[in-house]
Amino acid sequence: MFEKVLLKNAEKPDAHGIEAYEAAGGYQALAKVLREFSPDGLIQLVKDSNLKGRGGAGFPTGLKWGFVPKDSDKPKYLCCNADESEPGTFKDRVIMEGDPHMMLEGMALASYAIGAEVAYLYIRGEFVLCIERLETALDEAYRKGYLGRDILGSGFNLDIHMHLGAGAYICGEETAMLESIEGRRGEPKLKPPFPAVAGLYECPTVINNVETLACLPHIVNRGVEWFRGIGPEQSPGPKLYCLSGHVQKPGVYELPMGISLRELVDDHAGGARPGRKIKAVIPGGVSAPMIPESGLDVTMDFESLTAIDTMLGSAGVIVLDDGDCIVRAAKNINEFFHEESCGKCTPCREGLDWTGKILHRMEAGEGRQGDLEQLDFLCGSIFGNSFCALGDGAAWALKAAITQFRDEFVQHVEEGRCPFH
Amino acid sequence: MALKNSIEEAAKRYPNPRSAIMPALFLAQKEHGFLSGDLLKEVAGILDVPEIWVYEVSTFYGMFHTEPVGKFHIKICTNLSCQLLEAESMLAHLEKKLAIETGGTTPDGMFTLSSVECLGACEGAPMMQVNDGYYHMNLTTARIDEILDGLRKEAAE
Amino acid sequence: MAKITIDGNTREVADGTLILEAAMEQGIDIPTFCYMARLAPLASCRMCLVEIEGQGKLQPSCATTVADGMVVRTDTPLVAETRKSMLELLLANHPLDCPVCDKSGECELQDQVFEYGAGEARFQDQKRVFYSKDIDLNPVIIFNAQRCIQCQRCVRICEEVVGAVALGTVEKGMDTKVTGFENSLAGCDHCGNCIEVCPVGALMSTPYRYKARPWDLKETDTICPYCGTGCHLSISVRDGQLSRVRSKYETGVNGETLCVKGRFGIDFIDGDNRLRTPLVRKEGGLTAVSWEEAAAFIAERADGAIEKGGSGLGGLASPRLNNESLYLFQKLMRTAFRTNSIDSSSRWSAAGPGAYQSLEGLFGGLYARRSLHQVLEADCILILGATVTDETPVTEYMVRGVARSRGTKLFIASARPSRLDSEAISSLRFVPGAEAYLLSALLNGIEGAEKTFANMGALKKSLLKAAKTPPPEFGEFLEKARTAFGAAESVTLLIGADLLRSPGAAAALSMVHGLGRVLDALGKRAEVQFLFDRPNQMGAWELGVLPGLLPGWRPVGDAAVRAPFEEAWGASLPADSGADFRRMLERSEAGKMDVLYVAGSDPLLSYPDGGLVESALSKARLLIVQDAFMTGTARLADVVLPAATFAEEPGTFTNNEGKVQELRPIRRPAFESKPNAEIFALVAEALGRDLGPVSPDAVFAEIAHLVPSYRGLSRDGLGDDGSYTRPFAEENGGDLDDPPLAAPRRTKGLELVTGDSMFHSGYLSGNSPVLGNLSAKAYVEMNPDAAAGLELADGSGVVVRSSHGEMKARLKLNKRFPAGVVFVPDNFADARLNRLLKHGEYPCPVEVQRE
Repeated sequence: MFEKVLLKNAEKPDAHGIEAYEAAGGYQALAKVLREFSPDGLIQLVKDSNLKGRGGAGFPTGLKWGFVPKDSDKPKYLCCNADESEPGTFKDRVIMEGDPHMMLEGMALASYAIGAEVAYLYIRGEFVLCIERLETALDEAYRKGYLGRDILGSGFNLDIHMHLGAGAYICGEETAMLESIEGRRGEPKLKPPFPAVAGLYECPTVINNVETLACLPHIVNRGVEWFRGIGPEQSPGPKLYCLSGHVQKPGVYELPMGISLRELVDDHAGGARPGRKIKAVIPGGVSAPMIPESGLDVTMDFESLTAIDTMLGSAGVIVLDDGDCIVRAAKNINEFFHEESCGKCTPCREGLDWTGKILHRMEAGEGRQGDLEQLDFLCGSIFGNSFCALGDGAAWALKAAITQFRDEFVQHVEEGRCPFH
Repeated sequence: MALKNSIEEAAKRYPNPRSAIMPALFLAQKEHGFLSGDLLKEVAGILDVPEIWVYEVSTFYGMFHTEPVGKFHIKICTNLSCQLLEAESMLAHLEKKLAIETGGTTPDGMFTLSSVECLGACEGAPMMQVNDGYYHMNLTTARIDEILDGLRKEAAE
Repeated sequence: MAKITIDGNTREVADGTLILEAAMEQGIDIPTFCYMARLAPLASCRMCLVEIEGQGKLQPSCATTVADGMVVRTDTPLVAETRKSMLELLLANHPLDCPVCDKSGECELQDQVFEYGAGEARFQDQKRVFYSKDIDLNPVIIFNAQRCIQCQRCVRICEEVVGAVALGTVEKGMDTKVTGFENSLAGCDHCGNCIEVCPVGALMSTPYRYKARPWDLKETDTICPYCGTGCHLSISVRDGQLSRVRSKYETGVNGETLCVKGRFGIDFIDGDNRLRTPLVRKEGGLTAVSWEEAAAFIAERADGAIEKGGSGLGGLASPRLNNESLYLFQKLMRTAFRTNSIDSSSRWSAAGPGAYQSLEGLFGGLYARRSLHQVLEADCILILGATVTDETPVTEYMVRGVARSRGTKLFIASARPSRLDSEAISSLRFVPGAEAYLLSALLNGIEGAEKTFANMGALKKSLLKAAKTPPPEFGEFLEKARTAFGAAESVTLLIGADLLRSPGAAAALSMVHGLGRVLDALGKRAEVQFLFDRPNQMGAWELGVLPGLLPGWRPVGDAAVRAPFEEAWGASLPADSGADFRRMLERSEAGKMDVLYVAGSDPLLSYPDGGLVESALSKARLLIVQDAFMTGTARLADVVLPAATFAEEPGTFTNNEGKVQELRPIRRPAFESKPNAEIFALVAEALGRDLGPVSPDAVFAEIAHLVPSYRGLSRDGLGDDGSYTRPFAEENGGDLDDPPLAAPRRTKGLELVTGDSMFHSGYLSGNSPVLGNLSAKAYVEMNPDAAAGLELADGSGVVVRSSHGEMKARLKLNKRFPAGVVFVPDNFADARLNRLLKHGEYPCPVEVQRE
């Protein structure tokens, strides 16, 4: 039987305080690491665990930490990416609301590993309850000596500062987040140099997602074997899945990495509404290309989803059923990306405006001959050519909708109306 | 003066003052409701950074308002998960109840209605947030009416 | 080095080269909008995407550096298709209003669509419209947001190069636009570099708006007449009318940058105040006459005076005149008026004979006659007595560039603050006068320096006198500077005009020498350049527009020195040491000045003793003023000779780098005015002298023959980029004297300093309608706390009073100003600032009160 670790506390009522966390063994991982591990030892442990970043890209966490130069005399920074904003995604919020100390302990562990004495917690400003809980949790952690000077007598110092995002999805992109912490517009920056070498304030910086950090105490406490024993070999561990849309039991589910999408949707989330059939599922937030019902037997891990031209992304699973219009969904997704495009690069800024105008007309029954071909052209022009993953994701998602459900698009144009509304 | 002190306090978290522009704008907006040009200048002055830097940030991020907003700013999510669960009819209901269009403010300055991008609570779709308050999830038209009544009552008190 | 193959051609290129640059070197054109060589890469326009073998996606060549073995293709169908689609995307919301766009014909978007674009436009929905009317960001910059393609060149040049940080990017996504704070650039430099770099017609010049189509313009490359940076200008004329001023990336010290004066201030050539005809004072005032009559008038009135001899005659010429004119002026004064009383600076109260001796030493050796770019490559730069941002703005851009890109350790010691301070390791505010003291204290603290003092001749005494523990306000600056100088292998000292106003100028210049020697003895490379705020100060001095010194800094009292000049000029020369302008005025005040010849200068405005200069000029028996404008001084004249502006006569300027650059006329002189050289010849002829051939070639050849630092140069050989003059001394400039060291002055009251502002330098800028509009009135700049102590509010009317006089102006607060210093710009004729000043007293103690 799979044992939940990430949601164990969070699902208990009022377990967000430090007493509850400590009672459940909280901060023991930090104590153990400070007692028994060198920073390199901790990096090796995490490398051995094969933990892959839960923010979307799935980059091995230990490897990322290892890129931080050891000989740099500049300060190093850890940034926690808590800017969870991709439609369909709400797992980090649940951790921060329900078990904020787990993430803070993870931040302390990561900071220790990379040699950071200052960490920034970039959290979206709308997450009011999370922010309150984290403020309290930070106070508690400082008071108990888990943060601040000479943590647990180890000589390790760490300050964690919260930096509130102010409503810009793009700041979830790591370089845009760094720009935002530096007080600029959240526009992605050129890589290289990569943040591990020249990130925040041109200093070596590691950016980790909330869920990634939350895994760390458990890896330390339970060991690499336990972690690797969960889910597939190449991307193991417990995973949070967010279920929303036209599914009976929306919510966050902690299950092993690599569970089948069908099982997740049907068995755990209760499947489609009564009388409805699932038409398509978006597996990893709206930038992940949708999968038609026929593809639901795919397993939810980075590799398997990539193999069928979509992605695990943020594991934000959105379910559309046979009463939902794909054109309308595509238009809605496009509007999101268009609204959240920072405007820096040509294909994303101009391309998503153009696609948006076509989709708007199509859904309003004013589609024209040639519109669909223009959408094809635009997806091709944006994908692969935009500065960051936002434009790519938008084009990729739209292209999948058109490819999987081309008939619906054609029908909209030919009938001059939306057949669903 | 209080604003100056709290901004300077926030600036201590960063190695340079530019980083404190966002926290400073949150503080300024909290105190004054919205970020007027004079207020942006004041923030720039306190942090001793070029005014344009503050202006850039104030217009890039959706949570900063450079125009006045109502006493209650209703922000309803219309992204996919919420849209699938009738966010658009909730929005239409709000428009009707408040007799304003999305983006508008009631003539009495009480309510501003905005449709916003995903607030990260799709399990409770459709959902909305009022000002910097907790989320209202699993909205229905009846629930919205209840919330609006509560807000009106709050304002009256 | 990296071996890279682009489109099949394999070459070795330096590591760190961008693919785009490597391709350009091979003659392969890669289109781009956001790339600019001097700006940090942005990679946002996505026009320059190329295929790199082994990479799944196209990569931006403007931001990808070469790697050994890299194989790049720019000529594939995919690359071509991508360029085409980026252009189609850019055009989707572009208004395509080319017929009414100022940029049409020289628009990079047009050009690239022509070269790489598709023939058809598929986008058929409503285009984005930001504004229905263009936005006046300020009086010279107008903005059409619809045309903007978001390359951000403007924002980046404003921040990275100009340092103004006035333009920014606001809103997000499709609403993104570049603009100033609250859609205004009212407070910016108005330099227009944002216009220059705009690839499309988004940011436009208001003065040029709807004036011409680019293909109707006749463009002439010349040199800016404002400061000694010596920027290249490309001046466009349509039907004889000045249309606009630009600059080119490929030529000049400035690349494509200019300051507001250079870009917008050249319209002075069409200023209302231009003189039209010669004027002669008759009953009823100055009356228009013919050139013949004016010449005859001078001959008649000057004749007796010349016979009487040297001390009753004198001349002042402006360092804004070109080399040829300045050379002819001193030749005219010496051979026709037979006087050595010649000067070229009326502003500087302290630059007396002592200072000139030091200058000669400096220019003989230590002075770096080479490109400022190279001079700025030093490990350490000290800027002394300059407000670079206002006085030599393009030099400021370059200093900022090295401070940011090379991490050069920059130190600034000046009276006024400037935004360049933010690039400096340390900045020191001090009132002029303590420069020598400061340098000496700096040298004293450099490790190992003291051991070298024994070889410093008389200077040793003053070096040892300087306090090793300087006053506390110098402490941090000195400590950091000493450490940096100690560690540096090369040091550059840049000296501003403020130093020459200082009463300690002579001492400071001696100490500059000392600095050079000591650093040299320590095995460091030391170089000096001036930051003159006039275009040809160096030329004026080197060509003998100095009392007592013949061209090439040669003492006129020495018969052996005079001999070659006498031979070349066919005249015997007076041997006396002549008078500087101050002594000329004193003589005139005493009723002893028979002829005073002022060329291109307005001492009534600029001489730091308003009372004396007005009275003395009026008492000269014959005051000849030769100028392009009806200046205050001209109004007092007996004869006024209308002269060409820099843009109407051929010649050369020698800039702060010691580089001789060619001025090319854009048109013939306005009205009846004549080139300065021709006027000098005409006056000489009226006096019965022949100045010899006055063609620019002939005069230049004569200069090259007689002046050591110009030897070997020819006008033909100057080319587009000019030629450097050369040092003429064998060694580092003669003996070092023992200058008096004035310790920093401390007063409780306020001290007035003056100088250029961003928009004005001297009377020339005041004749520019655009600059006059941008900054119309004098102001009093001071620290807000100091003002609050006096109960003075920003913008209120104040009276500034010294023991000699008073003036009124509006108060302008600047929180970076030091508490004890007040600044009033020196160019506003109405303000009569010089009535407050007394020669030799600088800075001037003042009180500021509510009006």
